[in-house]
Amino acid sequence: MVNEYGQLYTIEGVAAAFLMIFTTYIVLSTTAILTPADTHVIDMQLEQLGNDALAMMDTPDPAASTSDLEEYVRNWKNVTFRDDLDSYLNNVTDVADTRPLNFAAYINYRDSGGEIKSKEFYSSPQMTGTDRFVAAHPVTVTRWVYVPYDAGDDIWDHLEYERLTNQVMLLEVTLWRD
Amino acid sequence: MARLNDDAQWIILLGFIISVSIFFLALIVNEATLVGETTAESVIDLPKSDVQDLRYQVLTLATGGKFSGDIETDITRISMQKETALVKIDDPGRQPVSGDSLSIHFNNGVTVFDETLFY
Repeated sequence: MVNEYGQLYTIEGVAAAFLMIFTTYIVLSTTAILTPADTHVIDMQLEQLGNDALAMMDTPDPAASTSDLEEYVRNWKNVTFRDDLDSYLNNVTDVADTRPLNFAAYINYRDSGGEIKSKEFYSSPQMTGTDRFVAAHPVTVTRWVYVPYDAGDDIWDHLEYERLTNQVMLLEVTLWRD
Repeated sequence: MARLNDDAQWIILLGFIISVSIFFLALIVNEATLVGETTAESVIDLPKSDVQDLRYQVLTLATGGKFSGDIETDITRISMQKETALVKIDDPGRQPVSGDSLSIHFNNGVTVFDETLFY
């Protein structure tokens, strides 16, 4: 025979079971953190860092009329550019960073035929092997550079089909963490 | 024997309250990851640096008297190809009382930016 003793205990038991199951479900669905969310945050930080570094390099000294970046591009000083950008990006106090930032730079310009050409300005040693960009999550930042025509500048020896006039080129820097 | 034993009701009530609060805490933690993602996504989506850079270069060139139609073509064509952004820089058609002006139009499909620079 069915009796109705202990109904409150039954109701409580069922409610508690529901609570526990729901909590477990939510906790389990929360633990998948290292998916899109994380990469977005890292991409954002990389992009900000890269843009800030380029903006710093493109800001002229009060005494100078041109910025460092413009000077590097005009005279094709890709080694100085590398050292400078590297010191801004991988500026870690004391401890050697085990995961430094790598980068490659390209110069985009409009050639004499009106086409957009891209020329490698600096490439990371990492990119020369066959395993380039393995496990990398590259982010691209850009900066406009004004390049006035001066036959004495080194840049004109490196470009192909270039227009020999004052022009604006786009410096494109790809950043990634090993 | 057959009566409902109502000892220790406080303990049971407290247990119940604590489990409900754990439930809500789990809900909050669940939301937190989503918040991080959407925030980072919206920061990436906004081409803040592109617009700042474009504006800075155009203004610097214009005040230095170096801006020309040729340079405008450079910016427009390279932007279209490398930044997938429509950029148009031209005469706004109305002159300021003194000095000169240029209008900048930027549209990368997500963000539209229009500004008239007076210099």
